[in-house]
Amino acid sequence: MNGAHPAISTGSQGSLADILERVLDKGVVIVGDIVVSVLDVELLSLKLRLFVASAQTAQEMGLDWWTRDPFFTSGAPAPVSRSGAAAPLEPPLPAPALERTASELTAENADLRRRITALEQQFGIGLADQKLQA
Amino acid sequence: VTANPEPTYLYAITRVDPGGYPDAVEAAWPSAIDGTSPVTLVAHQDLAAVVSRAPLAQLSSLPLDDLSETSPLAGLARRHDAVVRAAFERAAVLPFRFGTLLPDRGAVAALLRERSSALRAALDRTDSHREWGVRLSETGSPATRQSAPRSSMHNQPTQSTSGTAYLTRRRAELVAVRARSDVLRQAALDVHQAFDVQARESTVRPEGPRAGVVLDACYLVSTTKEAQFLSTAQRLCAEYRDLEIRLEITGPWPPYSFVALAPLMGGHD
Repeated sequence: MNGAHPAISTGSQGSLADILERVLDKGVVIVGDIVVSVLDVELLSLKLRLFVASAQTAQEMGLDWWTRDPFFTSGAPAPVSRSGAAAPLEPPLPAPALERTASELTAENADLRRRITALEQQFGIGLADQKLQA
Repeated sequence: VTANPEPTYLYAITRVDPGGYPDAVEAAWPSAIDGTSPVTLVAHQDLAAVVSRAPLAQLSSLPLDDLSETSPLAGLARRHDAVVRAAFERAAVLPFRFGTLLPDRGAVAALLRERSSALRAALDRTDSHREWGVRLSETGSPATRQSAPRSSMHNQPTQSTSGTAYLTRRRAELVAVRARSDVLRQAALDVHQAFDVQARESTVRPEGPRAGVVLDACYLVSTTKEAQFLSTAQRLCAEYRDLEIRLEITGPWPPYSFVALAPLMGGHD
């Protein structure tokens, strides 16, 4: 069966990330005073998760916040709740002025519309509305 | 822990034939995690721990920031994995987590003795099974996937002078995105189900952190069902390639992801 399928890497040694995800994260754990501790495997495991996620690091740092807004980027993933132990290491996301919730934007739109209508009525130039009503 | 000259590194617990131990079993191991020491067994009845001398200096000075292919960690992890695999070629194994050390071989023997029934039950559970990794992802890099919408936004002023046209087009794109994410979600569900019914157990990693990955799962598959499992993989692989979804299978692995054993307590007199 080995090597019969193009996307199936059977019998190979496996990629380093695949190996590290298994040997650092899984396996029988011995706890108690008897264990000789010379290495912080938990910390290594956290670093591995950050390493694997490096492609998304820029986004998590908030450097390209707009790629996460579906309105600006159709490739933006739907917002997901981040899970996993790597989360506490992430700095809090900055909150740019443009990053607002849909309800805030909707409310602001409605407010602006009211003010425009009021101004148009004040100056007698509500042409667009009259055309629509006609 | 009292100072001890012979700290012992543990790779896995496995089964041995008490009659054949130790000569036949110690014949041909790969090099130990330090690259030079021999791999040996500590046995108790039909159970044995695969061990070697602990590379204390290498482990304690391990640079934790370097996870690259040429890092010291990469070498240690690959040698750890190689020993676990060698044990797994002989019999069922319970792999230990990387970096597990006990003060001496006596402590290893005590562990086998005190937890023998739990260890046997765990070995029975995974006996004659191997782990297969399945990853389902969007074809192409994140940059490629995002380049289209980005460029369309940047080109917008030359393509259209109407704000309404722009907003209409953006709405259509959003609908397409939603349809695409529905396709991906459904693909992840379908693929998982197709493999899960053929597996004894499965684990699915929570969403993220790999960009573009919609399913990252492991399946514990009986060796008698592997041919069927791989033929399913081949079929799905071709099926999803047309949808620009990539199905990757890795394995067979020792049952790293299926060691459902509570932490072993040590050090109780």
